[in-house]
Amino acid sequence: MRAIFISFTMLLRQIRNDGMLVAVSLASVLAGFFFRFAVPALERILCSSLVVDAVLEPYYRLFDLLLILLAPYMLCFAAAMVMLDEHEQGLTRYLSVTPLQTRGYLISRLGLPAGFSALASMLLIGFFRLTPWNGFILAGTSMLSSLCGFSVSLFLFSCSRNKVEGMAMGKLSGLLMIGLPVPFFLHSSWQYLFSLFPSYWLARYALQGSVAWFLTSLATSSAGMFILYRRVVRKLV
Amino acid sequence: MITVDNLNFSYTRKPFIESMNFAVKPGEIFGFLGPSGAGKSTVQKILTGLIPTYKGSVVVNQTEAKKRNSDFYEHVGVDFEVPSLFEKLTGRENLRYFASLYRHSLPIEPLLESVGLANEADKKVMDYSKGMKSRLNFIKALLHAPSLLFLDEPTSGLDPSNARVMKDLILQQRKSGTTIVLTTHNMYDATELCDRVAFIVDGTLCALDTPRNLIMSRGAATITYSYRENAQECQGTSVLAETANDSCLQRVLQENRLLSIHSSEPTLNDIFSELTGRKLQ
Repeated sequence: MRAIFISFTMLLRQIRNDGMLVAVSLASVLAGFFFRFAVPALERILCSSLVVDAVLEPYYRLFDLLLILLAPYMLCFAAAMVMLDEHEQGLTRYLSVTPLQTRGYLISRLGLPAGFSALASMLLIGFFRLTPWNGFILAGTSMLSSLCGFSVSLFLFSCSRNKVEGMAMGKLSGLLMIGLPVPFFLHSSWQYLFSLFPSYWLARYALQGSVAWFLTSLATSSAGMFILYRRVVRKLV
Repeated sequence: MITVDNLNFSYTRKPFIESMNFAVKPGEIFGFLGPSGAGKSTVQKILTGLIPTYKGSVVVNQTEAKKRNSDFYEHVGVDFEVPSLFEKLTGRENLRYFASLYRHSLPIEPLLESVGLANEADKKVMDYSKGMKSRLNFIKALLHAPSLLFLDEPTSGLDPSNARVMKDLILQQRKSGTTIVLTTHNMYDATELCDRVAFIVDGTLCALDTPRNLIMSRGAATITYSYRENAQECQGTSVLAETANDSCLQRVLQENRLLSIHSSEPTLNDIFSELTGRKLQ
């Protein structure tokens, strides 16, 4: 446990020493400010100029969901970039033959960032929410979003050879969020085209609070993680 | 220290490491010698617990390698061929970080001094030369005073002076009782450093003995000599043990016509080629 904690502090140190990763890690806070203050102001301008009761307000929940997903996505992206950097320097294999071992390394680089990002999501919603949240559903949604972030890390690390490729793949991994707006805009059965995306079920869970959607999102995330995890471990050693 | 019994492993369906058996005694330097792709690094990965999906028995420090836990690595040090260091940290920061992963570690300063890096310890590793990185990487593996040390091509890519420093450090470790498993395709390193060497080709152990026994098993050394004959330089070769029967050599010696004489012993490379039909380098 001590080695895992030491390894995690090294992750934070590496993020702190990289301006881009600091910006990435703080992006969700900036987004929170924008969603909380700019979006309602924009809504007021739109409503008065279009003379309607609401333009953006029906989608405030979607802004909240974006914010919940953004924190894990960005933090896990930063962690994956550090992992790619360490892999290039031969450190991932070396740390596997120290008391940290492969499992400890993965906990410190993927597990802890994902866990902390769930807490960060809840904190961000606490400060910047646009809609009221039930505590249980918020906790569930944050947990599911941290699993999405975990999958993003696995995807980036296993599919990129280096940090530069990782940044390019990072843009591609944004597609994982595509399921988020679907329940807001697509009400026919066409929406099930997105049923393989955990973010789709996450959005439905956040909207309807059904345990079934929570479990489905959990299952789709777990399936993705299971496939990618073995590739990651193979790459580490 | 290490006992390997009927080890089998493959990355694919095709067998790679097949029916491998050997033991490494405490305090010896045991070398794996073979060309690239022969399976040396794979065996090292299995011994260090990086590959747990093997068949057979691999007992390292009384622990089955596939069942190792964090305690296992408190007594095992590994120095990979390519230095694995945080480039943006200084040498000292690197050592401090890696030392903090272990329950017990040696003081950093004497280790830095032992490899001549004490004055460069506060430089970032990205500014180090290849030799400096290799030396830092080596002492990184010694931070927790391991009883078993795995070295992968420790002199690879080093200039002769740095290679000498590295070899002296390895011999110093043996003197202090550390068991060393050395993986190399450099026959000179193997001859100089190893108490015993194992030849690996295509995942199979072809031979295992001391370098001297392997060399002697090929037969006696030869001598090559040149002499003057009718104002021309001629050459002759004779087996060292048979020089008394070489009438030409006897004659030119008596007539004082010998120009040069050299003895040549077979190298591990010769033995390796003879046994496997392959070259080491």
